[in-house]
Amino acid sequence: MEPVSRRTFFKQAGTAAAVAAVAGGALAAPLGLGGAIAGASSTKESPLTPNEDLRGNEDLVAHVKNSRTGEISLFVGHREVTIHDRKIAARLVRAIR
Amino acid sequence: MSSHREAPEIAKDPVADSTDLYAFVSPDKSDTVTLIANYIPLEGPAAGPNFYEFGDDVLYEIHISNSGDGLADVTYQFRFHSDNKIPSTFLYNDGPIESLDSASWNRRQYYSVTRVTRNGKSVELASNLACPPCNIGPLSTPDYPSLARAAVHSLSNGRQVFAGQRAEAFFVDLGAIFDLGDLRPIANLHNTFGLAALKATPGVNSTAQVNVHSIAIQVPITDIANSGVKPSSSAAAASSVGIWTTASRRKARVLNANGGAGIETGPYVQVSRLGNPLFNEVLVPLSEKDKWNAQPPSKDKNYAKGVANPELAGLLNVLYPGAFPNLAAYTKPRADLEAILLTGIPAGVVAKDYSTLTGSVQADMLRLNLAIPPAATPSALGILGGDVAGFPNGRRITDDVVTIELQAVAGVTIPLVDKSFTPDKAIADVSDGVTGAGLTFLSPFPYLGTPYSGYSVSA
Repeated sequence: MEPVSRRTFFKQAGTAAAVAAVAGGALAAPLGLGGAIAGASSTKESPLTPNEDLRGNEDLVAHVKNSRTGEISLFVGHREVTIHDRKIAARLVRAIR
Repeated sequence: MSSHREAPEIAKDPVADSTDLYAFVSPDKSDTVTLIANYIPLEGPAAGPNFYEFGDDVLYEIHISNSGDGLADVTYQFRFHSDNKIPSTFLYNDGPIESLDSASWNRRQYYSVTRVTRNGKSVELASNLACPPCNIGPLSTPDYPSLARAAVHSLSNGRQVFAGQRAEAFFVDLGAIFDLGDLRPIANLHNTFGLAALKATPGVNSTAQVNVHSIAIQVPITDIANSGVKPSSSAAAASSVGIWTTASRRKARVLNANGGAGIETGPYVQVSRLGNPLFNEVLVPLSEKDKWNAQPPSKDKNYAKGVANPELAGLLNVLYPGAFPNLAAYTKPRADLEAILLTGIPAGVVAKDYSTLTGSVQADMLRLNLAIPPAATPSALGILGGDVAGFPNGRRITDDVVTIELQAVAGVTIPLVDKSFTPDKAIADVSDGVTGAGLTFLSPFPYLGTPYSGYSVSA
């Protein structure tokens, strides 16, 4: 995967499905396990809340299964959490364009 | 093979590839059962500089169903981790390894054992248990048997466990079986597809002088029996349990561009399964083998068609024209194979007190009647040799499961369920022609023999 800055991550456009590995807490806040989408203001370096920050060395891997439906599987610890959020899926896809 | 490289995907993942599963009432401790799950097929003994080891990223499990539904009531889990004690050397060892704490031994592996019950209760029985090294040669592992003995660990409640390299006990003529079934002892009867005729010759053991990695655990019968009670009647419905092994990997993996293990996260997903020998190998279509490996036994009714109408039985009639006329004429579903492999054999079919029945749920499990004691004089042909303590009542490491299953598929067990059938005369010669002659075993746990060393075995 080519390096993507945090800013371009949310500005690029695209439509295809993607697999994104999100290590550490850097990209965790915009995604959010609950499906909430960070807006433009999220690009500002505001402190992360405990619910937005990954714990310790925890890794989060996101698998965009279907960009049209926004189905994304999130793998963290020993769990798999599936969300349906077309906007998040679209932003991830745009990031790879 | 029993289950070595039996499906396309798992063939590319040796450390998670189950090869054989054994389960038997321990011959020297008849109040216990021994469960052995082998992994990593066809280990060449000369494997330096990186000798074989279990996968640190694989969850190995041995499951027991004692309530008849093909779901695990008791599971033993094994998790491994490895360590380099001498980071500066490229060597596995830089001197003789004379003990499990030898300062000369660089690459080591340890494991934990956890017992999980259906109600979700999970108890770690032990952790940081040492595996023995691989058998390297007379300078590196000068007294291998003592290293292996030291790696037999006693656990609570009379349990014992061992995990490490062992000599392959399974024997089979792979070269013949998968050369369009030209079983050497009866190759003269093969149609050879119009090519030059073959002569009848003795079989060749394709798994001679290779090693495997074994997970062996010996537990009290009460540890796995229904309701935790040792059964007293072999005819009783609750006397038999079903056993299978699985290997699982984390669902998501991201490789590290700088080398190393990378990221593995998410839940475990099953990638390998083994109950009865040769089930996935012979009875499941190639296109479904990977899916079968990911399924629990409780869903095996989806594969029952391949048992009731085994492709191999039809092939025998084609490959050996005229040799199996009675089998060729038999068109009924193979209730004998369904019983042996999917439900167990009810009491009264083989003998009044013989049963491996676990219930009506069709599930590929290695079934063991906990009330049948070990045989004083075992027959490698198990039930076909009149030995009720052998396969398909569990599986001992000396059982000739290839011949037993080949003859069963060829019809020798049909009369158990259909007295009108007479097995063909050729059935007595149906075999790959390989026996366990020459294999050596240990008399105590873990029973499997000392692995071959790289120095002593030519390539």
